[in-house]
Amino acid sequence: MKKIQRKSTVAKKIIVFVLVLVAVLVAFTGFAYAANIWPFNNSTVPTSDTQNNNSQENATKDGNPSSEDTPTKTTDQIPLNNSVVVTIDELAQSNGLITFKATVASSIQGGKCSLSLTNPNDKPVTRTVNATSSNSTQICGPIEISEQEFSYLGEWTATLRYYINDTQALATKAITIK
Amino acid sequence: MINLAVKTKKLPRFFISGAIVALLIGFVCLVTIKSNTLTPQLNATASAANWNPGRIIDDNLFYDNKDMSLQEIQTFLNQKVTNCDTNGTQKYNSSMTNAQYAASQGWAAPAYVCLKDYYQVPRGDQNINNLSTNVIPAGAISAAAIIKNAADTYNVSPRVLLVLLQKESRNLLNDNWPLPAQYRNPMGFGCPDTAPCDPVYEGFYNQMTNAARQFKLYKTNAASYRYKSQQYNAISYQANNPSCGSSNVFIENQATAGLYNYTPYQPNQAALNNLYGTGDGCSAYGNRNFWRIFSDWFGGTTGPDYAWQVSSQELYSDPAMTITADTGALAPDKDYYFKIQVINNGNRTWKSDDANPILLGTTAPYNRTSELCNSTWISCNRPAKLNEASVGPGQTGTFQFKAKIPRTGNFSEYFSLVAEGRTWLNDFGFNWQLNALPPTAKWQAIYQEIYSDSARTKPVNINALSPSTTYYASVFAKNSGNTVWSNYGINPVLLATSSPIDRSSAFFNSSWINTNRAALLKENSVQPGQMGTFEFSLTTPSNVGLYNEYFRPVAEGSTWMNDVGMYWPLSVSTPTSQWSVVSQYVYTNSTKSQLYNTDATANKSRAFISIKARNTGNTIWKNSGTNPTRLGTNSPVDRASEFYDSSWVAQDRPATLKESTIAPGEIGTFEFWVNAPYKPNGSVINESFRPVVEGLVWMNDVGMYQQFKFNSPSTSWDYVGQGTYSDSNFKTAIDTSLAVSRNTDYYLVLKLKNTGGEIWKNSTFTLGTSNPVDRASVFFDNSWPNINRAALLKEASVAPGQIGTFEFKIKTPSTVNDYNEYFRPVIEGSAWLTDIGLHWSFKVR
Repeated sequence: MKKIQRKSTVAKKIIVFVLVLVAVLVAFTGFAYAANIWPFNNSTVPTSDTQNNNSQENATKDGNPSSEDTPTKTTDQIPLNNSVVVTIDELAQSNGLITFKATVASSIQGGKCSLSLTNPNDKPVTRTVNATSSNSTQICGPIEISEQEFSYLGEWTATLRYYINDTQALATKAITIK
Repeated sequence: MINLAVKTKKLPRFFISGAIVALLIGFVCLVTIKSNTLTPQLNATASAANWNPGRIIDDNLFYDNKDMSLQEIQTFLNQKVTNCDTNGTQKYNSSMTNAQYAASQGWAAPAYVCLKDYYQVPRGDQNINNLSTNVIPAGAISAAAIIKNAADTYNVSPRVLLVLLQKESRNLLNDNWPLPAQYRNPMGFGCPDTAPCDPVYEGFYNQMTNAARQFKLYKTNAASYRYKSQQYNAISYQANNPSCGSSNVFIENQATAGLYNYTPYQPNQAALNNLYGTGDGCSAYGNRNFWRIFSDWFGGTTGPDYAWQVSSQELYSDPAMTITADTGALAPDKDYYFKIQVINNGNRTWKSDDANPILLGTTAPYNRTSELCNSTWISCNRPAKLNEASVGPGQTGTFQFKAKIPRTGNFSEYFSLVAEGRTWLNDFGFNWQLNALPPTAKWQAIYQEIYSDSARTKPVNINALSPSTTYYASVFAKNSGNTVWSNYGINPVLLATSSPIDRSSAFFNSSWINTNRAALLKENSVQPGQMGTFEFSLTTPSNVGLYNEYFRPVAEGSTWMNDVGMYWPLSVSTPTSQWSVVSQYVYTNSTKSQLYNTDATANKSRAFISIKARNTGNTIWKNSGTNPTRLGTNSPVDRASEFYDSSWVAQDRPATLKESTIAPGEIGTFEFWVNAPYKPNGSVINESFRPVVEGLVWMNDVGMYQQFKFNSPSTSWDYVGQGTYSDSNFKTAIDTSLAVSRNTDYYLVLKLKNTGGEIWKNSTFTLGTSNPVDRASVFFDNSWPNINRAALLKEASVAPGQIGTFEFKIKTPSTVNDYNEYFRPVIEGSAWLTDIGLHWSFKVR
């Protein structure tokens, strides 16, 4: 009888342990699903497509990469650096893409390149990339933009603003989008 | 054993309890954490099966700028954030508030301004708002107002702008502690995320305005943009990966074309399969999200192809469709004209003559043969086709048709629209309830008036009519029956006496048809609903008293119209001619542009008097005939006035009434010139006047007068005559144009009129030498008062208006010569009178 009783107790312990384990797993599963953490974190919030795929429809401040980086100044508030020369080397439309490349005559490494294509009849198309260094020049691009983003068919103005040390240098060039 | 037994019993309870607690925690976490992300789906109406890439939203929804009022937009924003954490004091997590968390991330400090509370000055060149401070700047308007203004300016739906804001912004609509950065480019219009923004695009106002304007441009210049409606367009699935491919989409409307021009990608199947989440590497979400959010918030993005609603429904009794018919009292067998204006609420343009023309069709049941059918109908179940050649979505179309009501009784005529050969449009039981009655002649008294003049411009007071006087009456009557009134034929419509009917009227005169028929209808015919007129004159009886004169139209030989109790209580009273002064003015001219100063009336000056007088009696003043009303002199009456002017009717009648007639209560005018008499300065004359009905009666004396105070210049005089005589009796006149002898006496005389304001007295009024004045005269005679004073006034005094005389002797000089000897009257010690160049010429030989 005693032997039998001992076996029964062990079996009960195993059953209880399994139950607790299952309960904990269920609880974690529920939490993970609700909190979008592993293994349910693949269901990210969809993008809006318009703002260079950066903004997010339901993004929180944490999820928004630009909250900290969002510039507080506008283009007209940043002084021009006349000692820096920006040259647009390439601006063309081919194979469904608008391709752009510019060089900045400056030995100071770094900087940010902001390309803006504008037309009074349409929404501007913008791209921002970090400049890459090559010898004593900084390279902006190449940047490729699908021609579909240019809904107005006609002449556009490309303006490249190169930002370095709270100054800017810029160059413009026209292109006809077909 | 006992202990073990106890353990074995306690352990399961502990673990079971733990398991239950763990399950509960998991469940609570699931419910609480997920609740927010699930919330939008609770009202979800979007289903991937309904996604149509060629028709994301209908034009009539997209371009309906009136679909939300300003208040509705504000309420919508309020509902999105019910508890704004303006000060950042709410918990971000268990250890930090929102403000503390922001500080830890290097983000902006409070105040955090939620969109519902956001205000900005509506300027494109400056971004002046209440961010950070939560202080509303002067001239700022709310975010809701910015949205509404953009919608109204560019004819885009506020709902569309809210959905665009939701899909493009960083959770700005729902965020209860938004950072200023989230207001920078919430519509995704032209601002790079990580580089400075052009100031013309930055900020909520610029973003909202530019986005709305852009959709307007897509619509108005559709041919200039890449994606076009009513044709196939290649639309990619993904922005950054061309290998994801594209598909040809037939874009059905401009709104959808605009959305693709704004965001040039379509969702792939993976994106549609997970409508509220992500798809795969080839998924794009912008237009999917627009469609999904709009559907969830506002209940769908498309409507039916064919739909309509009634804008107006009219029934007329005339072909010109100007006279509304009473559907409850129509006449049988008479033409009526039906008109319906309808709004195209569908998505298809209605045509009147294509393969599926839009027609008005009978319903209840469909294609019912109407009793109203006639040869003008397309068929007996199709009364009319669309008037306009084309009516687009949101536009208004018209249907018109003619019909007779075949018999008396009630008719329920149901109609709907049909795209012939294709489909009936929505049937909401549109109908006309028509009731045809037996012919009825009815009227309503609309307006009645009695005038003193035949032109019917001067209403009279019917409480004080004069006996035996003719007045002029008008009655305007509405034909409220269902028959046409006419003033010819066998049953002309007349205004007849009533109470009792056919009563002989005491006001009858020869202009009446007879003693109980005052007037024939003025118009040739009056349709039901139109207004008719009766005009007639009436002459008051000679006996004073109150007369209630009832009238009522009659279709002569057919029927009396309904008795509406129309009457005039006419009070005939003893004639009284009375007046009161309304105003009196004196002017320098008849144009009455300048007032005359009666306190400085100059002798013989003219002034123009205008008197306004109210007729306070009960007789009509007239300005012609046997008893015209005039203004007479008063105090005493018929006094010959010193102010008489040749323009007067008579010495005692300055003027006749200016107006042809003045009824009791009206104001008449008397206007006339007066010519001031000669009066010494300081004289005051009160010139009294009073109206008189010539040949009948003087009106009441109200004591009216016009006062004149005289003040003329003392130096004025008029030349009357002069002479030269050889004898002191002034009998033998000398012609001074001939030669006179040297050292010889001659006698001169001068007559002059006192036109000034002073009385000339011979003690001070002399004739002095002039040119220059006080010149020593070579014609001096010892009889002169002085060598430069030829004579004293002969008369003791000469009043203004009277003629005075100077008589004096001269002695011609010894020197032969031609002389002009000048003189001028002078009031000694006071003034020389006006120099008129008075002189005598002498040829002394």
